[in-house]
Amino acid sequence: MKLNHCNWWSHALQGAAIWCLASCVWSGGAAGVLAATVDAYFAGQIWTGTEVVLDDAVLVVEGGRIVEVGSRDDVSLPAGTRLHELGEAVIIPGLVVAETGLAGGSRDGPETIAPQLKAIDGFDFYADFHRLLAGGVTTVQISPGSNRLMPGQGAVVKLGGRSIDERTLADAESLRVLLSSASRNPPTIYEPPVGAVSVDRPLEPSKRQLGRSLASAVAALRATFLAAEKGVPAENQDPDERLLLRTVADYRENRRTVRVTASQLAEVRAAVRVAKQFGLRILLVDPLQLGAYTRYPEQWAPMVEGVILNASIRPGQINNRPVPDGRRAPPPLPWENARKLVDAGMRVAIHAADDSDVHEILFLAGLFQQGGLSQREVLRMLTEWPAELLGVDDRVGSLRAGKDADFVVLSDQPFQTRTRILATYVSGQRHFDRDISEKSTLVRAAAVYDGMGQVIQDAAVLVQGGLIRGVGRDVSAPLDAESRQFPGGVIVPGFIDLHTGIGIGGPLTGTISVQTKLGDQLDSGDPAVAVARQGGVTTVLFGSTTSSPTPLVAFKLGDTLRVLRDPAAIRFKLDGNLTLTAPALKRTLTSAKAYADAWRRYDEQFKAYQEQKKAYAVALAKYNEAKKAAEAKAAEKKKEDEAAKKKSSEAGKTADEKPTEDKPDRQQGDGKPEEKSSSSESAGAPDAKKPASDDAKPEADAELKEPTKPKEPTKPKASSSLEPYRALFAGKIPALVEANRPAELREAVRIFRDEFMLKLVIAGGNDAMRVADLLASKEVAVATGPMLVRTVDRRLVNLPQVLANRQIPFAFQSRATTGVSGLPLAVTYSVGKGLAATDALNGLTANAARLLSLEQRLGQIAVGKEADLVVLSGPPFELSSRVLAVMIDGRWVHEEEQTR
Amino acid sequence: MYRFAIALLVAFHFGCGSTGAEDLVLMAAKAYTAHGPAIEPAVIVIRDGKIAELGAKIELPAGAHVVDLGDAVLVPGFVNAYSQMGISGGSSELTRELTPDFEVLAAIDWESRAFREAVDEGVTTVGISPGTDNVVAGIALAAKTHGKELRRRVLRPNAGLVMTLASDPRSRNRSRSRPDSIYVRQPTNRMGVVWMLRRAIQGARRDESASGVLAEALQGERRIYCVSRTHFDIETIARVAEEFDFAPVIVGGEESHRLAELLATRKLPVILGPLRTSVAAGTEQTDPVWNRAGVLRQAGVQIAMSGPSLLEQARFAVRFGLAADDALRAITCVPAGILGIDERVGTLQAGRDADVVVLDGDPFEFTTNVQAVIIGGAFVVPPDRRTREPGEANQTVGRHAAGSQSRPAPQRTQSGPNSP
Amino acid sequence: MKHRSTTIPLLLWGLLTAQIAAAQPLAIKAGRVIPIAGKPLEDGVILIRDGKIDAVGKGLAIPIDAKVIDAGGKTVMPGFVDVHNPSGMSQANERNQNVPFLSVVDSIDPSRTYFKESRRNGVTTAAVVPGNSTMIGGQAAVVKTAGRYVDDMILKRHAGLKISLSPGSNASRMSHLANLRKELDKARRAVKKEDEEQREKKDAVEKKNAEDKDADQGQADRDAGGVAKPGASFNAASSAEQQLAAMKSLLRGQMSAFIYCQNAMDVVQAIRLTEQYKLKTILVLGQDCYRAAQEIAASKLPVILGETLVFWKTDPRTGDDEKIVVPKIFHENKIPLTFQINDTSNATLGSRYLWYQAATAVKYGVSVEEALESITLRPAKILGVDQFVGSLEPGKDADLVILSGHPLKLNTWVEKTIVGGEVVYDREQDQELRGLLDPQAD
Repeated sequence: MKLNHCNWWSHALQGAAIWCLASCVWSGGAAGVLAATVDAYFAGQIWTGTEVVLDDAVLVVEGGRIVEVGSRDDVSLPAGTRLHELGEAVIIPGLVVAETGLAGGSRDGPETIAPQLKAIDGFDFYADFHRLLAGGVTTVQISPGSNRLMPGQGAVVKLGGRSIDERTLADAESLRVLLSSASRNPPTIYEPPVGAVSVDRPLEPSKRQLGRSLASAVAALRATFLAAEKGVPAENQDPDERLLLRTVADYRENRRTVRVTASQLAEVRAAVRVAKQFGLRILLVDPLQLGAYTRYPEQWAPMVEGVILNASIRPGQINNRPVPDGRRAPPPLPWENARKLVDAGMRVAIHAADDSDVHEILFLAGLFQQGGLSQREVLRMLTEWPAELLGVDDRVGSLRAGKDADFVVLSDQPFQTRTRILATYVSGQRHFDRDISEKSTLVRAAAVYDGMGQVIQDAAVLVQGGLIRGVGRDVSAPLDAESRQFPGGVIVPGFIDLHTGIGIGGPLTGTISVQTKLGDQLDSGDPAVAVARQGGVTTVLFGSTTSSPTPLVAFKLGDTLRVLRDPAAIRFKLDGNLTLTAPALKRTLTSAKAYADAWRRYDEQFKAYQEQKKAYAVALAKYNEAKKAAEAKAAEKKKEDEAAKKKSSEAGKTADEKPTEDKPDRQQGDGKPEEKSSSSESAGAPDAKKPASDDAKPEADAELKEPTKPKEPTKPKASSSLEPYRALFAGKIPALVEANRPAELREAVRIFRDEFMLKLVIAGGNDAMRVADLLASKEVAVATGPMLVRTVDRRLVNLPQVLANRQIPFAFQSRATTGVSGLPLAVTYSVGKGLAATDALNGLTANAARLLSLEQRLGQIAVGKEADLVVLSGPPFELSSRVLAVMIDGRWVHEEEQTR
Repeated sequence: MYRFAIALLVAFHFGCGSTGAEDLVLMAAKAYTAHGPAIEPAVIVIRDGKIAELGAKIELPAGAHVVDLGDAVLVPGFVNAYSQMGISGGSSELTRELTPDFEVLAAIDWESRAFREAVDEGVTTVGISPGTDNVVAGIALAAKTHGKELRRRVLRPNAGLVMTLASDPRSRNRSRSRPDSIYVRQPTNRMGVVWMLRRAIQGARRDESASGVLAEALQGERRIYCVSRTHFDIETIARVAEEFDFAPVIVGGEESHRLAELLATRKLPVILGPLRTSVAAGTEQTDPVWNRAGVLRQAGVQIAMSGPSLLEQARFAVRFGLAADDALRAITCVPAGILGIDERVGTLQAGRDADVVVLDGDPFEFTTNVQAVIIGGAFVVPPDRRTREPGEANQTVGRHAAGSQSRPAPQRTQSGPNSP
Repeated sequence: MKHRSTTIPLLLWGLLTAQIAAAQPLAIKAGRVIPIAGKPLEDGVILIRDGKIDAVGKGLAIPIDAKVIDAGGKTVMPGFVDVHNPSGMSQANERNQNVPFLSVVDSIDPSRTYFKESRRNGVTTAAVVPGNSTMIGGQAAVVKTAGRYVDDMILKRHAGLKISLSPGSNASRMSHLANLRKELDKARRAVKKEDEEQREKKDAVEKKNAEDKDADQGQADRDAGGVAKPGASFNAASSAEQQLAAMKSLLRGQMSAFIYCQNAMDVVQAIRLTEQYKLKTILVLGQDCYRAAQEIAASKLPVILGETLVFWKTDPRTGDDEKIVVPKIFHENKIPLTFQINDTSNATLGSRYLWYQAATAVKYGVSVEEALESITLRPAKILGVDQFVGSLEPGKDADLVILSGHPLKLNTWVEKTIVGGEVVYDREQDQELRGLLDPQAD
């Protein structure tokens, strides 16, 4: 039916080549004309938009239409099918938004009743709908206006597609009526008669319009429908009125959809009554108060086709809601209405409260889960139901054979907070792709050193969305990937410097304590950063060099400095008189550990508590059920129950209070309190579990006991000065201990490694070769530098080389400000004095990342790692090699001048 | 032709990428150098972003990368001596009337689209001046229209001091507000404009001003640009200049043709404002005169052109009576000289920056298009986006390596069909 | 003041020569003739008699009494045709949005600078069309650019109705289109009614004829019925009918519709209206319409490009700058070009000259022949006046320009402009131009 409505489009564009193509493929069905390719999309799940969800399924598309949807094994594919493996992704139908103002509806015409206006006239097919498509929206209803009683006829359009004709699903979808207050301020019309207006005949308003109150609005509406019912005036009579009434009569007689916006109960009532009087089929839009209607669906369901609910929430904004004032209850939340309507068998759709939020409809709809609607039901409210209500379900709204191939690829199940839209397809064409929208680059060079000792000759690296997506001689890459060639160049991972003084545009001043967030002080305009990355350094640790424990922040040297972890390490210093410094350090660590432990225990307890709470809820529900049954049985028994309940609740209380009292004591000990705490947990746990286990016994027993509510564990006192140590003691970040002399090194190992069992990295470690055995046996890493090669006792000591030979992991630190770019050069000197180039590169890249526990993200050229690349003109650590270009997070941040 | 050009660009680029310091050789049908006679055919050797050598017959350096531009005509990159290109936010300071030490350098958005449009039209160097709402507006600069590094892009941060002796500084000023309001700006009439200028100059002479910018300018250490359009404003600035002994460059000069002899004898160069052919009156109700440039040049005045579509302006100037030679000079070496950067740009000459505009025909024909623009030895138009597929690139490299590398320039007897 | 004084003697001179020329044949000996219709001729002769071209050819015998213009070494081609310009009248737009009954004829001022400039630049025919900001803006007329009185200048009085699809700044687009459609519907009903009446009348006549007389009478009756001739109904007494007359002839296809499209989306609407109401549409395009080039190409409707042919735009999403070369895009879509010029525009220096617009198209890949046709014969065809102007062919009006050289060359000037066999512009006599080029000569 809807296809007929867009007849004029086909007229308009009959000559168009595009139209010809479209008609060949669809109406003619002449497959022979075009050898249409078949595409198959394999996904973890396919939600068809109806009630069906297919696991491990495939969607087959040919010529812009869906050919087949089914489980992976059931579908047989013709030869030559292009396969698209989407992994665990979830495919849902393109979203259908049942009402928007995208046709410029805010600019209303002057007439209060103007059914002849068409929203399609105001819709710009050439506008940029990227934002909406990125939000998964492929089909929208467009409204003709929003501030008049009867502003015109809406339309349904797709936001993408091959031709305008194909994109117009319905050019006259519904007749819009607004009974809400927005329409009740119509202007008086000054309509000059055709021809000159003379001074003798001053211009007077030719129409004073009705609709300044609900009563007059309804009266005007009735009058219009009545007039249309009476009959359309003959051809020779008032043509304006004729056109108007002909349109209205068409909607009435053919029972086409009239879309009525009514939010207050009185408005809804008026809408239903008008519909009943004239036998209209209405779509109810934006009802807030539905009153008794939800309870008696039979009263209004014959007139009401469906309901379009306003999400009424604007994402990212705080919405003021009316407070109950005694006289009137606040309106129910939209999802409460949704639940009731769905239960009453009504088809429901969702639209955004504001046109600028339409692209967030997936998020807004997700909120409807709060009304107890399942994900499937919510999805139907964005797909199948609106498509049916708009009368375009023959084309869109579900993933079924024969429908348009409009679908959205999600990273996860729909309506989860973190679910991302990966791609949107309209008529089989990809209109949005998150990967492609983030530019991809193919960097090709003579060799790639991956940072783990591997060298691939004549290879390329594919960078997409800031991550490395492919490495090798032959790399898959999107067709439109930007290709960047470095003939003779060598790609290595970005270098990591484990201690610098750059990033805040000057020296670090002011008091720095452990809790200082250095990341907040970073200044992207620091000129030293640009200099540093010219040497190929892409990631640095930054912090002070004081002797008290200080935090170190790790960040990337991109155009905007990006904090990786803050703090990324805590720096300690062991020097001077060790008899004084060592105990002080120990004291600090002891109190820090106590604090960290207290919190760890709390976290464990809290986890247990959460589980108990869940069990409690179940038990309580069961108990209440049983109680009800018991109440019916006998009143005397109830008294007994109460007595028992009292007892049990008292018992619970005493048990619960214990842990809080215990806490201060426990902080003294180390290790042991854990056992204690677990015992206290077990003390609490049985209480919660009891009712559940009781349930298994004969019912009579279960009735006696109400389950005990588990008590939430008390939080330890938070201390900002000790907070950073939690990560340290959890082993998430290392302790970077500056120690140079053998005694200092030994002490560092003893305290940090042995006593407190922390992740230890020696910083500096000038004399590390003297305690190499110790370091090797304890697997302690060293961040060497800034002096890598020294003359000690008239002998040249190349510390990195010594460490390398003793299998001690090492990385490098420059401790420089303006000279950070010189770090690779310093390493080159070390290579010149015997260090293997491979070891040197590892130390600058992968090893450094590992010491920071950032090896999952940095330090290697491997798939999934962040795209920090350095392109050298020759092999690394050759004196002739220059840095040609540096990429951080997929962006080129430094390039050698092409022409000098 | 387009595809051909792009293929060549890629060839060039690869050459540069692999070893870094190879010479680029441009071969074309003809080159107008704006310096000496035209060279036919033309071979230009570019080394390190500079023109190393040019001539009709040149022994090509070994290993050079040759770009044969066929029938193209080469001209120097155009220089627009006066513009407000890329100034972001207001171009004038409205709280003060005399702002001699304000530098336009601080206000420029170097990524502005205006620069890209300018490059596309062949403008490679531009003088940027502060706006005209102040009597003494501040310090202009000269810069390239393209370049990654700002310090290389700005040729002269200090190209001269800009003042306005026209109706602009008095326009929009009101005398009826409270006198202590910051919204009160002087002057409110032309006499006031001249008085403020005089007072500023006298102050500078007596060393009263905070910065010595104006004093330096008056001593001739800095060039002075004066925006004046009507004949009486030009006369006034000439009078003031005589009185205080300095030699300004006249900017705008819509009625300068009426003072051609005065300007010639006093050796005051003129940067002409955008040419106007419609009868509609300009900012100051001046009469349109189409051949202003020709009249001034005839009288021996140094002229440069400014405004949008510089080449198009020069073409119309030629149509209206300016000699083609002078027109080319008026958008290349003359403005470069006025800006004091003629040692770097403005002519095709050995030692100058390799800023070259490649045209597909005679520069002074409306049907001639800018085919390519080279700034500092690098192709900027068409944009070198390095998006070629490796296969394609290799092919072109191969072809040229086999065809034209390390060979002396082929002898050519014919010039392009479009050259006059 | 200065301009006025120069125009009066020029006009007088023009009139003087006009009288002489009307009496005697004129022969132009040209170095090169570009007739547009046919191949260029070297050393051709054009014979003009009674304001019409008598013959174009090589080595034609020149009548003894002919006045001879020796244009040796010069190029002669048909006068240029300005296909859409409101500048010929004093005010382009009417505030009332619906004024189909207005005609530019009542507003054309032959003494406007526009006409003087046109003659100076070789434009001999111009369509004076109402501006772009009125929904139904009135009727256009095609005029010659020379003449003392409007009536002398008119070539086609009802050349088309101007319709704008762009609503006012704050108006509703839907309302605008609904109103437009309402007016068109009204006219359609009127046409239908008239047709029915006509048919009844004809039936009655035929019945009568069948009884006694031959069919010729009926044919004559139909012609007299006021349907065939545009403007015939303008004398009707009723003002309502008068107001509808223009709309009716629009729907009968007797008058074309100049539909102004500001945006690409308007193009789609224009094509749709064209199909729906069977209009003879000429698309008058705004800058943005290049985006609908494919749809335009498919519709095969004639187009008039906006005066800005090259411009830059920044993609709002990516921030990329893009240079849009409009003639190139249309040429690549195989859409025949015609150009607008704008007297007041300061967009580019050359957008005031048709030859400049043509040269710009050539600059971006259009052939010279195609470009020259797009400022002569093609606009004449679009305006429906190609039987009179647009090319140098026997029988056509003797409207031509004598150029100093190739039409698209930089140093080429219009030496003489001839309209209807009369020299209406002569560069030698153009004191004003002399003043513009050599101000010190005064």
